[in-house]
Amino acid sequence: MVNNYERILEEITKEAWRLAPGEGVDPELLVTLAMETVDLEDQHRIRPLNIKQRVEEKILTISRSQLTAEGAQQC
Amino acid sequence: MLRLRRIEIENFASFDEIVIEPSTDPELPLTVLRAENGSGKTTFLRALRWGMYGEQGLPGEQSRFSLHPAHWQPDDSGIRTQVRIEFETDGSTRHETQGTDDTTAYQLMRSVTTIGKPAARSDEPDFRRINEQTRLMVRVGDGAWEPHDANVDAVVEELLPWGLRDFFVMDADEAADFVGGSENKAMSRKEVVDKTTAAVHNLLGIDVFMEAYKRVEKLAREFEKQATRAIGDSDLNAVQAELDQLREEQAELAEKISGQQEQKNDLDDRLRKRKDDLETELKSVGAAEELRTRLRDNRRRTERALNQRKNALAVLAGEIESIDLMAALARDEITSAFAVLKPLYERGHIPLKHLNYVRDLLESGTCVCGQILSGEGSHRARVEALLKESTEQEKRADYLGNLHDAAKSLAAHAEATSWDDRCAQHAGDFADVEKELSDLKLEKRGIDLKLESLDEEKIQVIRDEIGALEEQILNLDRNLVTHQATLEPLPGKIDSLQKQIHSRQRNERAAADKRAAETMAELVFKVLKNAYATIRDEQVLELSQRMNRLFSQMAANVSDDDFEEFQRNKATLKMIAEVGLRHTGQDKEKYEIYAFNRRGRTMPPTEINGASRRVLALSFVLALCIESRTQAPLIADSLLNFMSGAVRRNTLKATAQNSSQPILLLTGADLEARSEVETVAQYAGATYTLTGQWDAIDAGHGGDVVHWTEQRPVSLVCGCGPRQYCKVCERVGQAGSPGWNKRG
Repeated sequence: MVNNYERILEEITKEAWRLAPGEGVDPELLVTLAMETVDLEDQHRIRPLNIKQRVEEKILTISRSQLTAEGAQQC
Repeated sequence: MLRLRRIEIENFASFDEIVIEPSTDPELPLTVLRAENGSGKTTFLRALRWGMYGEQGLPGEQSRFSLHPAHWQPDDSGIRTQVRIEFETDGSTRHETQGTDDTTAYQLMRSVTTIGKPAARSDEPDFRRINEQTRLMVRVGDGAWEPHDANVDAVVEELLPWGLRDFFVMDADEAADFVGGSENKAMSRKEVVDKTTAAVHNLLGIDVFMEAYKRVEKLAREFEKQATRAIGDSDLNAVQAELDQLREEQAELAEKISGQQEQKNDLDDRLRKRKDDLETELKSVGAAEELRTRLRDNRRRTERALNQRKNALAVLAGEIESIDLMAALARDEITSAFAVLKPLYERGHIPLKHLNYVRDLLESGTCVCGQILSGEGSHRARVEALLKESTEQEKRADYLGNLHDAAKSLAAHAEATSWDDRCAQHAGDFADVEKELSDLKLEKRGIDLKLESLDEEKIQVIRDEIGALEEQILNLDRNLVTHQATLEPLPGKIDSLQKQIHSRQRNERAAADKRAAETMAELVFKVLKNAYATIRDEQVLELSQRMNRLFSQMAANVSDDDFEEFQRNKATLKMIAEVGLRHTGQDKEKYEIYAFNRRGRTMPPTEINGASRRVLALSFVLALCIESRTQAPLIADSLLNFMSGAVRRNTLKATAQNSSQPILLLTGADLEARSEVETVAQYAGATYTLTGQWDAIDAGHGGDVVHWTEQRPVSLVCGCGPRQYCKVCERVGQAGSPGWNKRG
């Protein structure tokens, strides 16, 4: 994992909890997504991978799950 | 976390085969390799670097670097060089697979075979390297080693990035690059900033963060475009195209501004440097004014002194002409004459007063005896004859009487005055004036020489350069203002277009999926960017404060200014009031180490001496490792060079306390003091001594090593501590030396 992991997680968690509620998004989900993005970027730095697609897929998966959850709530 | 467990080196330069097992005890984390200069410290460091990074870890022209033992006849069968590094990690690497407890043990093995080859020219190497192999093994549950499937270079790059090689495997001279290079290696500010920034970015994860938020931002834009395309509205597509164009313009402008800003920073640096030069030169000019004032003052004082000299001479001349001179010169003679004449005078013998009486009697005609003296009597004739006889006597008596009066007068004068004292005083005054005149003459010569050495042309050249630089900066500033003015409304326009698009998209179900992804990406982007900014600014400030504390700890109450002559004019620890890390001007993504003197002025690295630079670089390395919670070995060569007693002791202690696995390569001189030996004893879990025994090999013996092995240049290793010796490392004169113990 990238160096300075603990502080990065701490700052990302703070920001996610500050921004997510206003957008109706689960803060934990946002933390996970942000951390996974950082981690993918770190892996890509050491050993190139198809990072654009990997991050795109992660965002789509999370946003769709969020949409599904919202839909279920509306029903 | 990464911890070295074992290092095996075979056939590498002066090493036949050595094994070092660094301490892995958290309570005693320090490992010390003591070696005199030329005994293999640097070779050990190079072997380790080659084991980790391959040929790129070697200095100079890599293909020419001899990996084979120094004593080797090139042949076809060749010789195999191998470095095996055993290390463990606690899972803070994604390559962690399986292991016991919380750690996974790895073994990195690099080998190469060197064979002889005919050299076409005398300056060509007569060898070449073949079959370089690198293997990574991992220890499995039963303790056996199995090949690991991960890419070896990727694992090394992750755990000990090449860009941080001077951070963890540190030649102290190279570590000084963080603060502007060592005494013998000048670096440009840009190189120093780039190196420092790379270390901060890497260890605080700032570079990864930056890439991540920029990538997510791009993806958000992609999702937005996809959402617009999904709607299929041609007007909306046009708005989207306009938006894309604006964004491109925005990115181009931002890049241009960043480039110009960098250019401006460089110019600012040059300007600052030239202003410093000017200041230095102007100080000389200031000194010139002062010198000219001193010269005028010198002239005035010289004139005054010349007058004083003239007066003193006149006074002395006056003294010489006076009666006092005679009184002084003939004082003894006058005194003795006066002593003789005085009783004669008192008795009336000089002058002869009674002759006048007799003459009066002759005039009156009656003698004292009652006889008549008038007429032609015989008595009168006899008296007259006696008077005649006495005339010569009377003249002598008158002369003596005058002499008595003169002697009396001179004696009285001599007693009443102190001519000698006055003359001594005048002579003293005269000598003082002469001395002052001589000093003034010397001072004038010095001032004249200094005035001649001033270079006013140089000052003018610097002034011209400063003028040109200021003009360039002014032009750049104008360009920046123009670009920033163009850039300023763009976010508003972009936002407005984005809102138009979003409002249209909201009504279209087809765009919902992409729109949701865009929202999510926007959110992730904001989270990453804000978190990034906090780390970039706040954590770096914390790092800076930590660095200052460590520096103070190492420099506490000590000065390191007792160095060689060439360092006398360099600022020392005592003069450095504060150190830290800061952004370089406008650019918040770049960092530099700074040091302030006690007047709050930034001290250029060239003004800081070698020991202070080492302490400064080390405080940065340790603070960054602590702040980023990086636990990795710190293998440092020549760390304590140039340091005096107290700084050396504090540095040793601070390194042992703050690094998770310090491995220090030290000379005996580094460990001379009792306190340093005690620090090693307090923190060291492993100590070794490297012994090079080839100092006098040509003479048929191994230098001052007592039990040397064979007649070839080889370094031996033993487990002796700082004040121990054994059969391997024993040197002539060590036995019985105070403080040294023989190890069994």
